[in-house]
Amino acid sequence: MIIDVNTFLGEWPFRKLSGDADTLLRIMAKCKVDLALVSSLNAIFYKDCEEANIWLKHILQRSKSLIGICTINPYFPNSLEHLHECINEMGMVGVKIHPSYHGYSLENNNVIGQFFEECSKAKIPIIVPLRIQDERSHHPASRIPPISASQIISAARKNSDLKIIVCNARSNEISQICMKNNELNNLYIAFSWVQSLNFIEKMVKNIGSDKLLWGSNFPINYMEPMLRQVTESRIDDEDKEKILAENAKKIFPIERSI
Amino acid sequence: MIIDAHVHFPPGGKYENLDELVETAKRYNISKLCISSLGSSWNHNPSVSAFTAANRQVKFAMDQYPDYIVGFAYVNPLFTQEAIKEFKTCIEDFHMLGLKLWVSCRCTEPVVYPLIEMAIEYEVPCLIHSWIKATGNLPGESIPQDVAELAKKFPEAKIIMAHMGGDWEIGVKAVKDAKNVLVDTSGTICEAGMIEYAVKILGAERIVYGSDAPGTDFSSQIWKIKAAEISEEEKSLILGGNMEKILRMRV
Repeated sequence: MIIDVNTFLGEWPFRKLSGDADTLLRIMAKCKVDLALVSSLNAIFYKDCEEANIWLKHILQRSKSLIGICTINPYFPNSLEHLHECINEMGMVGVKIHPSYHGYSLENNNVIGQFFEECSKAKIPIIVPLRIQDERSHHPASRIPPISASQIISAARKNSDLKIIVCNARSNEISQICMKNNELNNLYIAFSWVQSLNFIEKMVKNIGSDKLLWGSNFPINYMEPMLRQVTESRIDDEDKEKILAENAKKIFPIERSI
Repeated sequence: MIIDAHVHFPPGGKYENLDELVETAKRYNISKLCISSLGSSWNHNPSVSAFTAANRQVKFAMDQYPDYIVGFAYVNPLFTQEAIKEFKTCIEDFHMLGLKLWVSCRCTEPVVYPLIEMAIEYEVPCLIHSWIKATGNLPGESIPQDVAELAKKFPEAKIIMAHMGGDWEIGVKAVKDAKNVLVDTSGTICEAGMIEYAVKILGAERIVYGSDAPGTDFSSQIWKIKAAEISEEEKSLILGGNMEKILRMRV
């Protein structure tokens, strides 16, 4: 089984993308991906993510292979109520946040603290893509810096009951995060960016495979090259199974998906 | 046949990492690696001793893997006379088959011209780093428009613009009319549609597969091409056919 923990559906304002459900399902079938955890691309740019989450839920009803991840801006009014709607009524199994695009940092304060606490109580993991597109290629109207590894480490340290999955990280950023791996049991990495030579093998050798997952960053990135980095790496089949599905099944309450 | 047009001697200059690089490449059925070295420290403006030492790393690699590694000479054009001398040594004595230019100066600087003229004379390709960055370029970093300008000035030169110019939409369009420019697909950008776009604008005959390993893994780079929605014939040209033709220029 293969689970892609980092996909999007929707429009990207700066380039024509095939971010529709039909394309995603077609490429999943080609790559033999069984489930995709999907969030809304539009929600990155909407002030009120609620409309995007509702649209997403409607689209996801087309296939049981597509599992909803809601997008929440903790600073937007009424966001906690909407978070609970997404989890309890819309069957979404995780939350994706975009601090840089939504204009906040993960530094501890009441708003972030309460939001993380609610996610933690609901046993809902948080996905944090450090970036969506390579920052060197950003449109002039939207130059958004990546989230720093140090912010992630700090947030994980302060919210030890909250599971945080980092996506779209370069190899050096993953190395930085994983240096803290022994002390942070709640921090996970999803390989969803081009990595350096034999990096996945080296990571598994250094930290094991229990904290590693896989995501494609579809439709921004090609899915298959991202997947092949894992499937063609020289690691044990057991490690591959953990990275490609078993760890995701443990972290995300996929059975809750409606 | 797969030929990787853009590979580097492992940073830090560790020879055991060269073995890892070659062993991994062979696992992916890559037939040849075109390797340049940016030196041990990847200094943006390398001294003469730094770039000559870098080329001796490549010479070492060629000696270790004589049928497998194709050397590209790396020089800093700002040291014009020394760069010319070193390029000559790399081609005539070390039997390298290409010129690599990085970020010490933009490729439109006149100090670059004698090297391009030599590359034309030797019938070897020029692999030129190019990127247009929203985050800001290095002072000596060529943008794709620079590559196009250079190519038009030297229409006999065979130029490979690395990384499809980084921001590939700009890069590909910038060199569209410079028919002696090919683009390589190397780097960490793996955006859906980039290969199809390049094929549509340039044609598959003007695209070569490159990885930029060891900064990237061969798997993601090869599958950029294999997964693209283009014909098998186009994939074959990009993965090796075009580069094979270029490397035979000297024969």
